[in-house]
Amino acid sequence: MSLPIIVMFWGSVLTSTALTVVVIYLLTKYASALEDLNELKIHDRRHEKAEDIVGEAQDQSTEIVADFKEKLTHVTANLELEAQKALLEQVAVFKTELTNEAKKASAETTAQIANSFEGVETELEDYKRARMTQIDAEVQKMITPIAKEILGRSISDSEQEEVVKRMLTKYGQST
Amino acid sequence: MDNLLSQVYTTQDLADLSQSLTILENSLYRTDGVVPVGVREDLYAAFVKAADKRAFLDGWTKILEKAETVNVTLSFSPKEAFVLDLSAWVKQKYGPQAVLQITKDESIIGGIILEKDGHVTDLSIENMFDNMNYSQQK
Repeated sequence: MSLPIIVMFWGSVLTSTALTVVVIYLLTKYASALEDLNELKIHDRRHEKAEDIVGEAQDQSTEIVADFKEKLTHVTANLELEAQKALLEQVAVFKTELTNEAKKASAETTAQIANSFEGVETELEDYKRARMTQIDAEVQKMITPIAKEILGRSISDSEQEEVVKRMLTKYGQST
Repeated sequence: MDNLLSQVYTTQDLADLSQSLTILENSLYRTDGVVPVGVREDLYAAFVKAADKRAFLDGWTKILEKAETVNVTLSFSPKEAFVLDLSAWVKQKYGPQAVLQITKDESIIGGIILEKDGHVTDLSIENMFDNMNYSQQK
């Protein structure tokens, strides 16, 4: 009943060898699995680190964005105030210039009207003077011969002598 | 007057008569007071006594030649007293050598026109009218 020793020997060797192979194989797998596990852990840590970095970055960016928004709001507010101020200044300057221009235009118009009026007035005055002179000349032309005749007739010789004496006295005083 | 010509017989008579009329016309404004009677008598006496009567007459003639005529135009015939006054004024104005030559012109209406050596001083009423018209036309 007993198995030959040789068989038993060789059976044990084979078994042992097979077991050894199996063990080696398992060990190899185990080592590979450990490496994978390690890599996985490293990866996880890296991932965590990355997440941390991303989280920090997000936080920082949020802060930056908030800060930027605040600054932007401040700048915008200042800009609005400055723009408003500048606009008001421009409006004031424009208003002043417009008023000055309006005054200037008004003065020029008034002067032009005055000049025109003066011109018309002068022309009217000249016409009036010329017309009056003409009328006077015509009246004189009519009156003079009559006056001469009446005067010549109405002065007596003694009055004529008196007139001449007065004229000579006056003439003598003037020369 | 109608028989005036009946008494003029010759052309010489006519010339004499014309000369007399001219003398009368020229003496229209003559005054007796200009040459006083005393002066005239002195002249005659000096003439009678003068050795050279020609030289005496020439001397007086030269004096009379110095007379300067002042033409006077009046609108009326002046009386003798007025002519004397006028002569006094003219001699005072132009000098003792000034002698009046009076002309009557009614068209000047009144006043007087004096003319000496071409210089006219028109103080007539007519001129006043003309000046008045001229100044009004201006």
